[in-house]
Amino acid sequence: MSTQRGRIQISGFDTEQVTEREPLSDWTAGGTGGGTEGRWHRAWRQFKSNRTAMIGLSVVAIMVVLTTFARPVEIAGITVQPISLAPFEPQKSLFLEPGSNAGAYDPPSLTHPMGTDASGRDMFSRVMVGGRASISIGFVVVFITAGFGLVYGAVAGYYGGWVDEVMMRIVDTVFAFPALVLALVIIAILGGGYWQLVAAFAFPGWAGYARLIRGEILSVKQNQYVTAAQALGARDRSVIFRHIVPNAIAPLIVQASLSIGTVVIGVAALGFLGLGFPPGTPEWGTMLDATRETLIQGPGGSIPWWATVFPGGAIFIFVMAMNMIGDGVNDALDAQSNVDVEQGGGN
Amino acid sequence: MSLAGCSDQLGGGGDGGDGGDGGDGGVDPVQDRVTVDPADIEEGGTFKAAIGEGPDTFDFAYSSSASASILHNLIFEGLTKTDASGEIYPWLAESYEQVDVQDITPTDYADYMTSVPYTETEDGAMVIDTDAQIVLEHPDNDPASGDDARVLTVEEAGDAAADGTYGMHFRFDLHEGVTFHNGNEMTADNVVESYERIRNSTLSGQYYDSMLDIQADGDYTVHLYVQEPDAAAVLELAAAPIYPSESATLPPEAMDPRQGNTPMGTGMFELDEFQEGEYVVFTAFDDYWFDTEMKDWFEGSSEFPNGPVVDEVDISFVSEDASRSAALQEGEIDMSYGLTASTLNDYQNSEDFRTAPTDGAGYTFLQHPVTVEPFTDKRVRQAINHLIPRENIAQNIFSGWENPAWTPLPPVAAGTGTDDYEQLVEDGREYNEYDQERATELVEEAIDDNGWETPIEVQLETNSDNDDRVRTVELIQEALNRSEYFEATLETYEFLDFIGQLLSEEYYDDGKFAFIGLSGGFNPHGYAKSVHSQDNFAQCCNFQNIDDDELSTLLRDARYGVDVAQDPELRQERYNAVWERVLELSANSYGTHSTLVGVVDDTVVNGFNTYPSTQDIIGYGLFAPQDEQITYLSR
Repeated sequence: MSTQRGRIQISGFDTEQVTEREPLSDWTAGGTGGGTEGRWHRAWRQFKSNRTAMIGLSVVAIMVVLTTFARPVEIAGITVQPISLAPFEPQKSLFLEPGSNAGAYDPPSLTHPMGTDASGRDMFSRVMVGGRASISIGFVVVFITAGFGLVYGAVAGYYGGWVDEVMMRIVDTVFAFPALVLALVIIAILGGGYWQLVAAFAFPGWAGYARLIRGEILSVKQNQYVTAAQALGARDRSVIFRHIVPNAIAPLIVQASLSIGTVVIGVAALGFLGLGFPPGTPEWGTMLDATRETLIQGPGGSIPWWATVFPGGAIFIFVMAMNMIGDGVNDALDAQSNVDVEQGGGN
Repeated sequence: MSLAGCSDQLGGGGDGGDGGDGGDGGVDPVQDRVTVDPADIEEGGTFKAAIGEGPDTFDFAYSSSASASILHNLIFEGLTKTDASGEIYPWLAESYEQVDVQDITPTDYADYMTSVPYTETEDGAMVIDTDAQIVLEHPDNDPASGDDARVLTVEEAGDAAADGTYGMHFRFDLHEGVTFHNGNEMTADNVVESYERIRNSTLSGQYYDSMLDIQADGDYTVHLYVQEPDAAAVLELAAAPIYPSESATLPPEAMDPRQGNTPMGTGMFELDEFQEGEYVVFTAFDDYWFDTEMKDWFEGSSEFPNGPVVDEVDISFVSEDASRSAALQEGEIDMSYGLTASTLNDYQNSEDFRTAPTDGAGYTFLQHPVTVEPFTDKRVRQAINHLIPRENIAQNIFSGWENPAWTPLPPVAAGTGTDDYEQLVEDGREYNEYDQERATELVEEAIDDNGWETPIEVQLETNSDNDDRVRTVELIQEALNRSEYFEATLETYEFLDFIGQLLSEEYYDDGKFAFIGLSGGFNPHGYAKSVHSQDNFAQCCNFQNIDDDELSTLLRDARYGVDVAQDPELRQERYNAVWERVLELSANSYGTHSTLVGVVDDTVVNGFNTYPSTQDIIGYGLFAPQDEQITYLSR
């Protein structure tokens, strides 16, 4: 008896008895036809039925495919993508081609469907390749900012108290700067280039996501399943990322899908201001900057509309399509977020 | 010499366009010059123009902006003036003569020199500690030796000249009865006072590299003494503006309406109203002294006016060339310049406007980082030079408005800079041709000898505010990248930021290639000296610490010395050797020779021709009897 002291023995809960007992009714698993439909499945089904969103998705997919396969992609000297859809190299000035009669601002023709620019380069090839920088920066920036903002906001919201106080005041500080002006300052300090632009938009961009996710988490963490997980001794990390975040992430996804377009516009805006990329880089905003002066011509001169319409149109179509996708995601997830996430760029 | 941006230029102010070279005169650089029959001239009206930027200051001696010179040249005049080809004409001086030339070198002034200690500035440079303007230093001075410097200042220069120690002596006889804007008559004392204003000013270096002293002799005679025999002395020294006493004695930088002082001279226009950053208004000077009968050299009709025929000149400051173009089309202005090449084609084809092109006094150039490997090897620099597609630049980017710079010497300075310009161009063409094969050969040789790795990185830099220039450098970048041996990148900066970098003493160490414009004058000297000489290091325009003793000697021999000062042909021959050495050295590659294109409203403006330098583009157009140039308005 003494060796059993202090130990509680509960009987009557033998699992074998439960699993091996006779069924109490005729109910069997699978009787409802495969279980309840998952949240993400339902969202995808709804999204698919949204025609506007699907048009947007197709446009973005086509643009991404075109820009990816416009010219071969080399990484560290190895060609990883050999296909070349663009008829000319985007940097290639046809002035230097022997026998070429290409001039500055040649109008659209069969050889050059979008005409040529001031340096005698094929606009069609440039517009195709031009998406690479803009689109990829859009996705990379949103991936980074949403990811960081998610973790940041989740930590602040979950712990609350002074941790929340300090972290959210930092967010307020970031919000105190106009995003585009902050991006300008960062580019002025770091200089132009791909990763510099990513930094310029990522630095002010994460704060919006952090605030959004914090707000969601404040409400989600009150739920009983959270309390239950905590009571069962789950670690904070797993409570946050396995129980809270999946239930709070919908508005963030909506916002992220809308923000990609905003970042693309922001990159184009900096390019138009002559910042971001060196002149001559095939990037939509930089191309617009180079043709800005054509808008005022001499007497009787006609504006070479193709020089501005095509890169400008590419920006418009991409951003429009992204917004259509964003709206579709919003409807599909039923997020109904009222929080306006500030994002770097065209605000 | 000054650095040229687009329509705006930063620089020496007045050193270029006001010069001339005397003697043989060059070819008229004005293309398709229009002339006016004096009988047709209509008097009166307001001439409205737009230029790229406002003046830094109206105080000539403290200005370093070429567009400010446009305004200076309406108010001020000097003892001499030049025509569009660079020939010198006596102006406020009735006549001038070279009295004497002597074989004098700086050491001959040793007896007049005083000892002055060196002092160290905050940034560690050793400077001579004196407030007096230094005229010249003893060649043996060495700050590191611990000894004092021996210098000749303006205090002692007069004694040396009086004792007959000078390189050259010129006598200028002034016109009598010339009145300043304040009504006082100009005398020899005013001339001396005006030159004294240059002492310790922004422009002092440009005058005291040659001038020794200036002295009045009675009311209407001035003696100018030069340090050494200098073939370009009159050109460089005699055109400085002459002010009335009340202006000449103002404190430094005070001769400006923003300081409460109206700038005054003898010029054809008086400053009437100035609104900073917006516009300036000039009115014709009622008591303007000039009369064609006073000038022996005037060969035109007796009906030719004795001054400008417009009553007023309004000049607005508009930085965007597209905005100036729009203003011209809207009829808000009558004249502008510095428009992009594609716009110029439209103006040329329009019946309502006239383009007035003139071979300009300048070129664009790419300066190689000659102290950084592998650009220390001449063959690499020459290879890059062979990859500059000059003809494409001139044709495709400038639509033929500018010409390939086969030689650094622009045609406006050809009169004194060579004895056979066509041959010089021919020789240079072979050397500067776009030739990928030759470039490959040269760079392969250099790589084999030195074991350098390829591709060689070439970082090109230029100013962002000039679209045609950016496109030029993009094309050079593209041409370099077509060679497997080079990998070129391009960075652009705002004009003033870029200038700031170029003028720093560290720039040459960075291994970057600077592409920029140079605005010069009629003196061929600067086109070689300013981009090569150690005197111009960290100034305009030796950014890369280029140092070549042989070229320095050739340059000195072409300008200084009794022989070249007296024999223009010998001087031309000496410059031939300079250009040969410049090409051989290949420290700079030259892009195009500039063309200055004034555009006027043809329904209103009659007779306008463009001066080769922006610095006198308005004054020359309105009234320049040396070329029988006059503009009148029919409104």
